[in-house]
Amino acid sequence: MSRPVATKLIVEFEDGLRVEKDFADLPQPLQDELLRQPAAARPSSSPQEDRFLLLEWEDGWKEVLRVGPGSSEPHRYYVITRPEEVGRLSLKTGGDYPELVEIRRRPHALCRLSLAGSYRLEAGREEREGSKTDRHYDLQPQAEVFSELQAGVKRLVEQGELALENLSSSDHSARLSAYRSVSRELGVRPARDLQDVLDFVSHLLETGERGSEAADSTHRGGTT
Amino acid sequence: MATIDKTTVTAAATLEVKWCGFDYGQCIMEPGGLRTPLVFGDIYKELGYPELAPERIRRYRILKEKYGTYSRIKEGHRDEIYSFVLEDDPEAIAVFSRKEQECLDMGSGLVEALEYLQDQGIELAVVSEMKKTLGPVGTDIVSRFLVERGLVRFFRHLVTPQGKIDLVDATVDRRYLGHTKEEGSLYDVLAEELRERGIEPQEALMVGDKPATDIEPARQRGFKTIQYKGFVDLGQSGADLVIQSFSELPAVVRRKA
Repeated sequence: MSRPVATKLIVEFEDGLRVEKDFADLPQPLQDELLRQPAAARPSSSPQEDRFLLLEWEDGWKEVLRVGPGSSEPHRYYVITRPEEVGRLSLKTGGDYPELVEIRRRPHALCRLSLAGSYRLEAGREEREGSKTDRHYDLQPQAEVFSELQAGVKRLVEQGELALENLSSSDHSARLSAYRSVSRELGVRPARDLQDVLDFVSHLLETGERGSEAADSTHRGGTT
Repeated sequence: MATIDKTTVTAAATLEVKWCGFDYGQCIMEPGGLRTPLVFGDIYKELGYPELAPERIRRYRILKEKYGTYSRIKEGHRDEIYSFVLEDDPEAIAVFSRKEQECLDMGSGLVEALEYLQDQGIELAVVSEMKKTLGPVGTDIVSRFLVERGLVRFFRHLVTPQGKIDLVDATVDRRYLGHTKEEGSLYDVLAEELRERGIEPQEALMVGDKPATDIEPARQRGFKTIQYKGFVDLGQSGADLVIQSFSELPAVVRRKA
């Protein structure tokens, strides 16, 4: 392509940390997403050499899409029609708007979720609107599961299989090693971001310790 | 075939009326074509900001989680679509209003049914729980839908909690102001107005999809009711009849002599 090629992505954090990454090493969807932001727009220096796809619809709508320089002619076109199943989980925030989490992995098979308490999901009512059906799930409170996970993490630390400093290491291989230990023991995986799992483990350890301290001080108070 | 409590009956179960009100959303208007990714994708492509579409789609879905359904947003919180989703961008708001109209459909068999009812001499009106509109009378989505699809030839009036709007001369009868279908007081005002013209509640019919706003409050005030389940099935109600398509209306409704 004759558009200038991006070479580097730089991210600066508020604590002063500056991270650089070769642009070509980023996932392609992320490269595409960054380059279509207005701030990253760079015109082609030789548009006559570029390849463009023009799409036209029955209602008169037209769109242009740049395609690769090697694209020569259409090969085939088909439309997939299948039920799309997406779970929508909204979380109360105390603010004006809830937080929305989309569950794409086997949404009907989600059986329990935990956030300030644990809830079992039980199939509830169905609502049809035209060709779309919403299947609602009732949230049934049940015994919380975090203490079981806390015990698992403590076991890992005591057995030397988890080095706490790796949870917040700047070395990716160290973080990966910590994640692999946790994942083997607890069966937990990242939904979106590896660091979420590592910070979750730190959270379990800190809240577990604070819970123990509170229990100890209560015990000490009770025995005087 | 029209049904009562899921039991198939013949056209002998006929409702004789002089006036018929129709609900708007998910009744005479079907929003099935109003797919969120399509609408917001088109809006931001048209404006030249295609990269903004995913975030706008996400915000619209968050708004749905806040209020429960898209119809509830449209009826009472349209201003938040403009502020929270479209960030008060006037260009985006204008394109959104146009796109909404383009994507809306009419219920199956509607026009033929309205022609029949009008030929029967039955007075027709749209009764909508439109609690909030932005802009002058006649620029709201319901009025525009009726005008742009040529339905004003059937419906001269739009009855809402903001007043009874004359779709021809744009005047507003403000006695309905502040009265809602859900509370039922809108039907009290409607019943009083119909009586002034010699029509008793039992000579009036309300057709709609929602038991809580279209069926029960009207039925409790003596109106005849038909629950429309062609687009959405919101469960059982005390409606006199249930229909799946407007094409069933000619068999079960006729003008009272």
